[in-house]
Amino acid sequence: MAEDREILREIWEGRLPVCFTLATEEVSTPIAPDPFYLMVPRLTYFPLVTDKVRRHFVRCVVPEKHDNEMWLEFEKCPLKWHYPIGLLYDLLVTNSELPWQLTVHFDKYPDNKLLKCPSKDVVESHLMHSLKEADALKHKNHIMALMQERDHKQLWLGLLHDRFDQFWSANRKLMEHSAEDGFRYIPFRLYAPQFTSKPFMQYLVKSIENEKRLTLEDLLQRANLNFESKGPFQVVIHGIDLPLETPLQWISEHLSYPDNFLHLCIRYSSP
Amino acid sequence: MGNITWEEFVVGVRHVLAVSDSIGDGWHVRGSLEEHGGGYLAKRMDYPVAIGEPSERTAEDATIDHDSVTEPYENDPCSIDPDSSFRPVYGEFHVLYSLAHAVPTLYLRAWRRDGSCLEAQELWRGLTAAERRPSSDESERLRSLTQQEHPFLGEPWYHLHPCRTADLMDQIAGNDVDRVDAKRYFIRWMSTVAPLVGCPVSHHYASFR
Repeated sequence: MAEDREILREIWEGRLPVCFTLATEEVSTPIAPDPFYLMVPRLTYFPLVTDKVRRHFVRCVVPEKHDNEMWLEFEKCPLKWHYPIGLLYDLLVTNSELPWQLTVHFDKYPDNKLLKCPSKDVVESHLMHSLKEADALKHKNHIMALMQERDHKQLWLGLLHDRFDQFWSANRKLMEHSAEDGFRYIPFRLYAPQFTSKPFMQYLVKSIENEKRLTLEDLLQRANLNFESKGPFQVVIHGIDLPLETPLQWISEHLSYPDNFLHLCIRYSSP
Repeated sequence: MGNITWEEFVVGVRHVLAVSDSIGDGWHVRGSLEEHGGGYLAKRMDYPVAIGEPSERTAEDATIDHDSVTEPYENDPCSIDPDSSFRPVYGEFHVLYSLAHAVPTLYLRAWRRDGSCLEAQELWRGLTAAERRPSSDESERLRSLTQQEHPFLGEPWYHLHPCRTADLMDQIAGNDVDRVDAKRYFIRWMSTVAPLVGCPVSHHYASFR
């Protein structure tokens, strides 16, 4: 069970200022709408926090598009709603500009690139699938399977309504492990677009191996990639540059996203 | 034996490749089987269903207006309309190894000739009509099918979620007291799961040498 509650709280409170602007080609009113500013939690997903954004802009697009699914774009890149907001920022923004400038669209949904998200139920189902996958790695799916429907709802509603205590009342069960063993495998996804065409890398890494507590450095080594070859790099999560000697078990318990995965981005300082 | 290791998965994949080579039904490998979790089994084919093609409308309208596309099925869910505006669709099936659940997992996608992708509802309606199954089966299958990012391609694909596959494979094994080997496991899984989404599996795969 995680003990550093203050750290969990700090991570939960992480926010990003975002400036939303309607795509100019979609403005149907004589005057373009004002941009819309919002502080959004890093840990959540865009469809859970953009109802107000939708309401602000929808009146400025042609009526035929009013019921269309809204989607967001950053520098010509459609944003995957099923990635947590903090991950998208860490992955895509290289110059740390704030507020984060995003373009809002109601037209031409890029359904060859983005999953459909007609309702928040889809986000809930995505979260539950990810939690099951993470639990399968950590505990052979025993905890999610034994949890009551009520606990599943606490996880979802805690995230949806931004309630730390509600979320963690259930999530602490998913973080349990025996003191000597740690998690069976660490649920993580490593984002290194400089090295692979895959959206992310995933492989099996234990928490403890031959009585040695594995660190972030061990995890990187097992990718079999020469990360140094492209210059000095950082491993970033929640905007934090993680020291390579940090034990994986600790990172997993304290820095995982609500889906219980560590979403780790390899980042090179711009030349 | 509800789960298999990556190495067992590879044994199953190689069996499918060997049989597929002799009967020519098109299964092949993408990526690398040498690397742990580094490759998958793939097949592209004409889908055995007929789905309305938005021939009269522009491609842009087609992505919004689903009602008219599916209308003919509402009259009689068991008929395949011979109307010439209906065209076959193409399907692609990928069998990946799920590291987390330690089971094979199926991804699929179907598209029309104009390149637009089919949505789950359309796909199921077409399959249901082709198979003449009662609609309760359709709703049952819809529940387990979700759109997910393809782990190799990063694109949205439909996916039969693997979290219950291990239970399913235990049930299929039933009273089979002998340890089921990797080839048999793989073929049992494929012949159970793939036909559900319209991908036939030849009986040739069930002969082991």
